[in-house]
Amino acid sequence: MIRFENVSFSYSDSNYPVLENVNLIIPAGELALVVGKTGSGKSTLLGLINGLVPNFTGGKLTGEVSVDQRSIRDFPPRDFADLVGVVKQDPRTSFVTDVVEDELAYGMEQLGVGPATMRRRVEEVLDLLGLADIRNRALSTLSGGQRQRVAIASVLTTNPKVLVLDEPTSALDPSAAEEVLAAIHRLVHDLGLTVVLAEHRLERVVQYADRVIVVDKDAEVFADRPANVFATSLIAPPVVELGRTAGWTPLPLTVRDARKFAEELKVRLEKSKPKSRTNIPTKEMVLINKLNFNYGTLRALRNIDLNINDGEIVALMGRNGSGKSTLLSQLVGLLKPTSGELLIDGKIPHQLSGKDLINSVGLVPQEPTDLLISDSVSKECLASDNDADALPGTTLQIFEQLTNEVDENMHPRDLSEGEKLSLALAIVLAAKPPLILLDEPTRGLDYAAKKVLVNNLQKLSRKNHTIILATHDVELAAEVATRVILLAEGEIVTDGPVSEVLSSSPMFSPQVSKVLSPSHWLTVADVALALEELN
Amino acid sequence: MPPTQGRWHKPIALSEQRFLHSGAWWLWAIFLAVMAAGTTNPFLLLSIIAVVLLVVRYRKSDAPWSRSIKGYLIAAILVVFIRMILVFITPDIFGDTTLIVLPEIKLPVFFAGVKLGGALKANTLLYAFEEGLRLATILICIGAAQSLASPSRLLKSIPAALYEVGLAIVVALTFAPQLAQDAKRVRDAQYLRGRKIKGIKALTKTIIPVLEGAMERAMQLAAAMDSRGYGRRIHQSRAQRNLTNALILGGLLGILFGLFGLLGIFSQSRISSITLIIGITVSIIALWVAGNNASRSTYRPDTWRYPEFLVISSSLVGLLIFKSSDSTVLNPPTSPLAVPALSWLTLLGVWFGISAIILSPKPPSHHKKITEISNYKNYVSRKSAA
Repeated sequence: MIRFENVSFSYSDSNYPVLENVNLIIPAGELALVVGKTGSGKSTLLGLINGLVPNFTGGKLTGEVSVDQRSIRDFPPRDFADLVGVVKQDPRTSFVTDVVEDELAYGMEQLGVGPATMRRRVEEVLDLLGLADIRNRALSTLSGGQRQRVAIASVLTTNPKVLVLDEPTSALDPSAAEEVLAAIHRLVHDLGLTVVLAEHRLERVVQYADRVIVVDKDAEVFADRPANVFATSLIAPPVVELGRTAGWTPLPLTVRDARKFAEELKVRLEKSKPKSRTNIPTKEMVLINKLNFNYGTLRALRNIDLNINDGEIVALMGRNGSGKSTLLSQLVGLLKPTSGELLIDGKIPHQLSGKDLINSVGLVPQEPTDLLISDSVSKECLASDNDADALPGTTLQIFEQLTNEVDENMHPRDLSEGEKLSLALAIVLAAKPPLILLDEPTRGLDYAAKKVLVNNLQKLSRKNHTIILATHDVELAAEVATRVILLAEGEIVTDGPVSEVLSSSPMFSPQVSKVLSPSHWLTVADVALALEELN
Repeated sequence: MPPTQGRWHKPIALSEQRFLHSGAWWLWAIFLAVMAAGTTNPFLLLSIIAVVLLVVRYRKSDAPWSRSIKGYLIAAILVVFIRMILVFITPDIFGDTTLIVLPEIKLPVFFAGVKLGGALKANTLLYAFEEGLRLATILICIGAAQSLASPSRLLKSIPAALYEVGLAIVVALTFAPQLAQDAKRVRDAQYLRGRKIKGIKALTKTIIPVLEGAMERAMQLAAAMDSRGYGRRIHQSRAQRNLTNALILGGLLGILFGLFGLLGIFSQSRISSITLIIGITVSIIALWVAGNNASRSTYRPDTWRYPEFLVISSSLVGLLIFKSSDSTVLNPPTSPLAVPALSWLTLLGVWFGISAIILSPKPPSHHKKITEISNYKNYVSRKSAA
């Protein structure tokens, strides 16, 4: 169905090719999962399928890309609308109309499909993706999962043979992600659609993949069966790593496969316990007493009571819109409580500003680039030293400790996602705040970058910084948190040590705990450590 | 559910839940706005506002854009308020009833003829109130049209030649709230870095990132639209396109000059009307020529049935009655001070517009609760289909 022949591509402002000599064939009816580090050229590969790259990005393409024997050299992207459906990571940026049903019809209107056919296809697709109940809703009122399904539905109405999805679940909470992936799975099975999907959170998607395409900057792009790829790949979901650690063959790819081996491992681990992560607290950092906050008539936070000590790493979890970000905004003083009391280190955050604020609390926002304003890394760091009244060079030094070597003269925009996050974190740390907040830090991060983040956060907590992170990423919470707070509709539903909360919740449990339940094991690292001690 | 009892049933065109054609709502509101433009009688203006708000109350859908009327109401109140504040600068233009005497400020010689302060006359104040209220009423009429029919639904009904222009406007409308969100994000980031977020310097620092964000989003939207087939299959030769463009431009210029003429800027009113008529004709030809070449189709276009005519006539009839009214009713004198006169017929004309509530079908409800039962029904029907 999709054929890459000797494809090389380089962007016009760079001398190095992003993709070099790619040869791939994706047969019809398969779900191909594209994996690779950030910046390895995954998005470029996806963009080539309908010619958005190079038509919209510029750059030099050699070789041949064709879909269903139609070459992207001969037709512009719009002539692929009836063949390839493209869904972006954030569907909000690609919605053209304002109502679900109209959005579904938009593509067909452009193709001049007749009214009767249009009506029939809209009805079919509404049912296929379970959207019939929300057909008249305004797009701005949809939840994250619904939005993603509408975006998929809106490209399906033109009857494409190929669906291209770029990180469809990275912004979604676990249950919404499940909802979207189930829909995609059904499309592959019922309609025989060919799906090409890029995703960092492998633990969510590996079970659905027929074929894995590995994109690596320094090696040849290749495609193979998942079992073969993950036998050796450095990028692998936790369940595969658990299999490697425990020495299971054949290597399990899904939680279900792994459970067959679980009994044996449970016996081996019977006498061991996961290493405790808690640091000894020296003082109370956050005190929240009967906190309420309303957005207009919406009660975003209700009666929150919370005490957090220094040295704790707290993961705030819950659905999209459950109040996680609102609570972080309260803690950093961006929002003023409607009623109740909120103190950080004895101070009221919304009364602080300037230096007093950044010396007490720092927030790395969902888009770390929001914090970045200069046009080179070195200037950014100097500006930050200036803001924090720190010695010149402080921020740069912290940044270099957080990440690998980076060219100081680079534009922050050209850094990888992981490096951007490190830079934003370095800016926050330059002012030495005892309380550090992170909003959805692993969006767009690959496993390697995530590991770097986890290490950095653990180091900070050992220095008795308090860290609060809002996240959908169950595996991140399992790796790093000491305590998990589940929010729903602005209320605290559960609050407890990470091992208890995550191993007892069906939606928020990491893969390792799903395999080894009922027990308190959460991460591969914990299990590996215990096994080492046994030997 | 069709009624099964009672002697008289509502005709199906009225009882069925559907959106009235957006064009009908806009025309209905425009006629009311024209009515408002022709009077300064506060009773009549307040009646128009009441009619408009009642119709919006009963005929708006529950979609987010239906709330836009609120913004217009606030703007309307501001307009009246500002117009009345202005009176205090030059209070005693005319009239016989002095309310208070404000301190007078002598201006330097080169402002000769202008004076600030002086005796504040009730007549001037009333006049200002009426003027402000007239503008406010027109604003509310436009807001009502927007609440009753979303701009993007109007896009479905406009001629194919204007599709591109219309689309640009609709996209711009959805961009505006996003720009506000972007600005807030950038300001938050400044705050998080411990910088000042007030003052002109901070403002200039927000503008560039916001514009950058907007540019980026525009590019993303363009790419998304392209990959969904936008701009495909328009087989128009260059000559054809030039002809359409020339016709549209010529037509619009004709309309423009014609209107200027009728408003009395040029002296020859007959030439003006002829120019206007030619302009309109040329525009219609242009739309027709361009429409013939488009290959786009429209999904579930708004239908035009007799309720549409009824709704439009409800305010058109009112407008005609209104126009035939006595000028002392429409523009009551403010000097000497008196309660503005009213005629029952004129008032009836205004209130006739409220019949739009009965004459139009109810809009469908958006937010259906997703109940367990309907989920189960879906599940069963899918099972049986498979």
